[in-house]
Amino acid sequence: MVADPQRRWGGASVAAIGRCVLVLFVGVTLAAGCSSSGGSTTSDAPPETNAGPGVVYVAVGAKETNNRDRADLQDNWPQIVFAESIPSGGIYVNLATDDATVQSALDGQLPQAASLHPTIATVWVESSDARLGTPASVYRQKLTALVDGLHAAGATQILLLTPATSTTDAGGDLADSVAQVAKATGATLVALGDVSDRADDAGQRRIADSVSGALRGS
Amino acid sequence: MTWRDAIRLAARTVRRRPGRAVLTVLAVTLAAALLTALLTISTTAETRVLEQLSSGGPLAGIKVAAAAPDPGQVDQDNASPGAPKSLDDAALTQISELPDVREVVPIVSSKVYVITPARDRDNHRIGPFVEDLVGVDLTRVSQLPITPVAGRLPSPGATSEIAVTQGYLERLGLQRVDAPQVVGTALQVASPQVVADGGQFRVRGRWVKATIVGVVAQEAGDGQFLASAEMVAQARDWARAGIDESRDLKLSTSPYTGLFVVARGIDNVSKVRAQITAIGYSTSAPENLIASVRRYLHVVEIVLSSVGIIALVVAALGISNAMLAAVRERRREIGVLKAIGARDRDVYRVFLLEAGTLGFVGGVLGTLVGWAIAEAVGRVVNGYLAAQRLVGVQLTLPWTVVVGGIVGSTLLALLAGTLPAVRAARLPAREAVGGG
Repeated sequence: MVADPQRRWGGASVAAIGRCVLVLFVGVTLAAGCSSSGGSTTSDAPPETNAGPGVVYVAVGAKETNNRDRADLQDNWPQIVFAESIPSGGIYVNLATDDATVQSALDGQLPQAASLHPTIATVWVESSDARLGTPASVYRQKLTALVDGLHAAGATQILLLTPATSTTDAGGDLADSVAQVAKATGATLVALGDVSDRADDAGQRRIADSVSGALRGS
Repeated sequence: MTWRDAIRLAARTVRRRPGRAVLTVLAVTLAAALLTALLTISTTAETRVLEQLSSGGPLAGIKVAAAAPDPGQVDQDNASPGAPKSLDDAALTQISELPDVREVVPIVSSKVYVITPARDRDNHRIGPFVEDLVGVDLTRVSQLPITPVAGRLPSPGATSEIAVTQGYLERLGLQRVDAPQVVGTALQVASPQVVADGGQFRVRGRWVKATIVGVVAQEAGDGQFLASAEMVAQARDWARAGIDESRDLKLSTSPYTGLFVVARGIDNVSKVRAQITAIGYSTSAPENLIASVRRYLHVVEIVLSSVGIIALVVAALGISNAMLAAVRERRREIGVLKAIGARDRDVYRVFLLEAGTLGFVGGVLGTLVGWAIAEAVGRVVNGYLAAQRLVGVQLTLPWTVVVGGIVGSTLLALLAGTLPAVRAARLPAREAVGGG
C-alpha cells in the first residue's frame, strides 16, 4: 500500500510523515551515490559530439575493392581504411561490384555515391576494363567523368588507385591512363606497386596503408 | 495582570536563563528544521521519486510488442508474443487515446552488423556479429526503463553515439565493474541492404563508426545497443532502400518495433494492459514484481513513520521537561506573584507564553535551517539527475510549509508547556514561597 499523494502536512498523518522521512532517505542516498560512483561515472563519459554530418567515405571499384570472396571482412583494405583513417562518426559504404568496368561504375556506382554525399572517395576500376580491352582513350574519358561526378557530389578527396601495370589486351596501359586522369582532375594518385587482384591479408594491409598514407598526405 | 505584563515577564524570564532558553530553542529548531526539510523535499520531489513508484514512470510501464497477443500469456509479466503484427501510427494513436494512458514512447530497432576492436580474454579478435540496435526518443528517456551504469546516454538525435548493455560486456568477457573500460571506444556498425551484383543478390553495409558513450541497463527493447531513434531510422531507411525492401533479410516491416506505454499509476496497469490486448497487441508489464515492491515499500514507510513520530515526541518531551524544571526553580517567584495579587490564570498565562515564545523562535529558525538543508539536498540530487541526463527537480518552499512549520512548532511548544503551566498556576502561594 502506498500513501495517498493528496495528503499534506495539514493532515498530519503517519503516512505523510513516513513519506517525508522516506524522501530524505532517498535524497541522502542519492547524495552519497553522487559523491562516490556518480562523480566518476560522468567523468569517464566521452564529451557530447555534434550530431551533424561527418566524413562519408565511398569505395568505388571492382572485385579488388569488393573482396566478396574473402572470409574475413575486417581485413579488407577499405574496411581497414575506414577503421583506422576515418574519424569517429564517419560513414563508409563499399559500392564496388565484382565485374565493374569504368562504364558500369559511371552508370551504377556514381549515382549511388552521389546520393550518399561523399567527402572521400577511392576509385579502383581497371581489371575488368583490362580484360575486356577497353581502349585507353575511352577509359580515360570515362574515368575523368567518374572523378568529375564524384567532385560534383561533394567529394573533396578522391584517390585513384592503380597497380604498377595494367595493360589491356589491345595494348593500352590503363595504369598510365589513371595517372593522366589524376593529374588532369586534381585527384590523388595512389600507386600500389605490384599487387595481386586477390591480395591476401598482408596484401590488403599494404593497400590500406598506401591509401591511408595518401589520405594523410593529400 | 495584563497580557502586556505577562509578555514582559515571560521575556524577562527567558533572558534571565539564556542557556536553558537556547537549548530549548535548539531542540525545537532541530525538530522544525527536520520537518521543513522533509516536507519541502517531499512536496517537490514527489513527482520525481514517489510518482516513479506509485503514480507513473517506468514502473508503471507496459511494453507493447509488434505482435498479436497469445491468449495463454496475457496475465504473465513477461508474456510471449504471438504472431507478428504491424505496429503503426494508427495503433499508436489508438493506444495513446486510452483514458488511463499517460504517455506512449515508440521504440524502433534494426538489425546491425558489428565489428568491435575489442579482444576476448585470450586476446583473440572477436569476429563480426549481428545484433539489434534499439532506438528511442532520448529526450523522453526518463519515461523508459533505462539506467546508465557507466558513462552517459547518447545525445538526443546523435547518429554516431551508442550505449551498450551488459550483454555486450559479457560478449567481451567483461563484468559490470569493467564497464568504464569500453566507454570511449569505437565500434563499426553496419545496417544491411540487399543489392544486385552480377546477377546475384548480396548484402551491402552502410557503416557508421560509432562511439560507445555509456553502458546501460535497459529493458526498452531486445538488443545490446541503444541509440537515438534518428540513428536507427537511418539504418532502417538504408535497409528499405534495398531490392524488395531487403525482405530477404527477414527484417521487421513494422514501423515501430514496440511501444512503451506509461499508465496513469500502477493501479491502472492491469486495466490498460487488458485494453491494449483487446486492441490486438501483445503486452508485458512487471505487475507481480510491482505488487511485491509495494508491499516492501509499505513496511519501509511504517518504520520511517515511527522514526518521525519518535523525533516529534522527544522534542515535545524536551520542551515539557525544560518548563517543568523552570516551575521547580521559580516556586518562590510564583509565590511572590500570587502574594501580590496574581491569579492562577495569570501565572498560567506567563508560563504558556514562555513556552510559546520558545516554540515560535525555534519554529522560525527551524524553518530557515530546514529550507537551507532542502536546498543543499536538492542541489546534490539535481547534479546527480543532470549527470544521468534526467530531468531535474525545482525545489519550492510552499507557504503552507512555512506557516505550518512556525505555527506547528508554536502549538507543539504550547501543548508541551500546558502541564508545567497548570502545575505552576495551581501552586498555593504560601507553599510556593515557603518551598522556594
